[in-house]
Amino acid sequence: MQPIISLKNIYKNYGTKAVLKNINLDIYPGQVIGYIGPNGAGKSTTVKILCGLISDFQGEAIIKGYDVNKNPVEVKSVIGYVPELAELYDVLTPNEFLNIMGELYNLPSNIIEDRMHTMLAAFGLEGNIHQRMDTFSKGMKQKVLITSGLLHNPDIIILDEPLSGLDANSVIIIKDLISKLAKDGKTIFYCSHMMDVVEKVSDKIVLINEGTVIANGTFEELQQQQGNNSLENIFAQLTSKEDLGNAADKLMNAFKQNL
Amino acid sequence: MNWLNKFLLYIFLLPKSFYKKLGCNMQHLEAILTVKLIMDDRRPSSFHQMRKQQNNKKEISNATLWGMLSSLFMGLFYLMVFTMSDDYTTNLTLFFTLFVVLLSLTLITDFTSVLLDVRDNFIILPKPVNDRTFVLSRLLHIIIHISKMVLPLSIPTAIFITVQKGFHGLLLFTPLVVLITLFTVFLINAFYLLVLKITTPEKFKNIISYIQIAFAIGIYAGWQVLPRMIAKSNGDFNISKYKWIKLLPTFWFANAWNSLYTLSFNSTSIVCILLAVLTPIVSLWVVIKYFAPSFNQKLTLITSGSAETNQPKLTKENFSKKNYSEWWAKMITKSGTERMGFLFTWKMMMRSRDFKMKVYPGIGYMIVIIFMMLFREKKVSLSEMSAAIASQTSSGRIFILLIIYFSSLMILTALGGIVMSDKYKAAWIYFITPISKPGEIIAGSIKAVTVMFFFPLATVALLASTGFIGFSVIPNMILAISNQLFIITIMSMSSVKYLPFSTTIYKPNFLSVIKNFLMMIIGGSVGVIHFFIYPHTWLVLVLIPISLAATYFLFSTIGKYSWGKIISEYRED
Repeated sequence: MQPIISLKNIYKNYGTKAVLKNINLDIYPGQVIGYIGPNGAGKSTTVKILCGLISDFQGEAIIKGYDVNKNPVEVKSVIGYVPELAELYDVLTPNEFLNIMGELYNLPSNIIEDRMHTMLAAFGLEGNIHQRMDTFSKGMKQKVLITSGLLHNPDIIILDEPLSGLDANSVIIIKDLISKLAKDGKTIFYCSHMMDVVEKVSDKIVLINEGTVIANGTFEELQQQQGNNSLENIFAQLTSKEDLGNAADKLMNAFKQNL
Repeated sequence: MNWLNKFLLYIFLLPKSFYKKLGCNMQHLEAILTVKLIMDDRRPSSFHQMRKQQNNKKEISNATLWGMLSSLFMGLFYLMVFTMSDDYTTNLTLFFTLFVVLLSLTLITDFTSVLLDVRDNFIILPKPVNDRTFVLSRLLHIIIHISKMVLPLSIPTAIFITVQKGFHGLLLFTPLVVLITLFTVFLINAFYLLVLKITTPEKFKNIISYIQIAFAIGIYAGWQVLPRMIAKSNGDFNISKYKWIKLLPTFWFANAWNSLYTLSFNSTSIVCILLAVLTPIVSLWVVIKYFAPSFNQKLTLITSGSAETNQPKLTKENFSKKNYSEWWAKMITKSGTERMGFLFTWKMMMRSRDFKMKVYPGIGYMIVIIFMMLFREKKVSLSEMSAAIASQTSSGRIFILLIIYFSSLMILTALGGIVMSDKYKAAWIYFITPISKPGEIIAGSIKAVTVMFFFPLATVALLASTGFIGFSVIPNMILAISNQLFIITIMSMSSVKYLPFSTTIYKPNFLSVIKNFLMMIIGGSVGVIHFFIYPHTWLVLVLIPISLAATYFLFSTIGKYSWGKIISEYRED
């Protein structure tokens, strides 16, 4: 089977700082990839390359047979991107915002209307469809963003911390949605810091640190390599230089010194 | 904290033992006031808020000092009123009126953000601070804040009065300034309560920004008009001869000063003295008794702006507004990306406070300038002007053409505004979607600007000139409008290089300044040429299709802009 996402020897520098050093990844249709790493590891840079937001990198990024740099428009139309806590033109209403997004994805307006209403209703936002988003809570905005990413029925869905701000019920909906989308043959690229969620939803986990992939496999494979641990602990073992228990002790010491 | 704030704090904390007797914790009081004054220092004054957005990367510090200096400058400017007349009542009425206007406009915009900061509820109230300390800190902060404006604003006049009228002139002036300040505080309170009664908290913020815009334009207009008015008056202007002036509160204060100073009393002056003393005291009592309790609660609403209060009603009016822009969109844009760009820009221009704050003052200045240019000559009255227009003499021609051709300056301001936004990060939507020709979005948004800012003016000019002159003017008007569209197009080609609302600051570099200047010269010369061919109708008729075709041809190149042709960069920070 052809990989739907294929990254070959990707290097990317910001000025003199190397952010990505030789990233190689093959992702197949129907997979849910949990993409994890500490802050500043290069996660969002990878995502930006996949979405065609950055073009000045070395190496080759092929998405559904298209080169990201040569056919950015084709690549963008098969990707649905849900950014993390993105800024919104929040003087617009969800109805207006999603119409704009749909137009940009070249969807006919009757399809936009249909899908938008169905999806927002599923999120319980049908009553807010004509309200301006500046009054929305974090969770409501996130729901609109998720809708905007799925509106054009993309083959690849890139989710960057999609659960932030969502209440427990919505979290259940999204997790369920992820597995159903994957069953439907969609590829999901899931970036998050919430290890317990990544552990549950991902078919395959890719861990990057300081611009290189340091672990790549199913959760079970990672457990075999690193001992029978939770993903949280595996993550800490692989990425932290210091013992994290010490940090808490040091914090506690702050009270003792003045006694 | 700088020396100025340290000094203010020192002065206002002098009655330490008195505060302690009130049951106040001095350590807390000093801590709260220190932090408030530091915050005031880093906050742009309402006077500079519009300028702030042009270089908002720069940290603001010493705002207090600059604020006080600009108040002092205004105070010096106010001295001009004393050249208006030999009558002190007249001069002081003008002074007090200007004083109240500036003070209330500034405080109205400051009140929510500075003086009654709702964050206090989360930051100070959960801490072990007693009520008296908290109330006193708020009160002192308000007094300090107001004195920061009142002192520099009134000091030049105080000195002037001392020099001209002696020390007891000053002794009378000082309490009157205090009283009128109290009265202004009452006015602001009343304004707030009134506005909150008739509108929603969300709209309230919009009203505040409209006030700021009006404020900026008003100051600019005053700057232009006042010196001329003074030059016109020969010192024999006396305000007391108008009967209605007795209804103006600032007249009471001025009259009170004059009659107490000259010790000449009549029935009017006694009523004025009573009103000047009693009104502020009564209004202060009203503020404390009736306004203050519900005030804080209502202000919390303003800053939080809950979703329930903002249920948009899908009324007929809402629909007709929508239909207006959609009708235009259908008329003049291709469906798809271009129409989306049109509607998006239209909605953002209608709703974005940020856009209005940047663009409307500029447009207001333009209108002031145009008025000043047209009516600079004292001889020109409105009736003479309309006669000149009707008879199509050269000054009438200039008038008609000037209005149309000057509108390009306004549109240039608006065009600069559509690329900027506080929410520039939201522009990610352009970059993740498959757009091959971003020029279509830009073309749509330029059309939206034209429809919103040029078409109403063009329609009014067309109808008015037809009404004044008759149908013979129509070819000339059509040529002027078409030329103006041509000028808008070349201005857009040189200045709109960003996607709408996608950048923080539109940095005009040297080249773009030169370009804009060139655009104005081109626009101006088109206008001048039009002035000369105005009487030759056949030539005008020949030029209309040429002008329209050139516009169409040039505009279609904008829609073909590729990604390489525009300045676009995906940024997250």
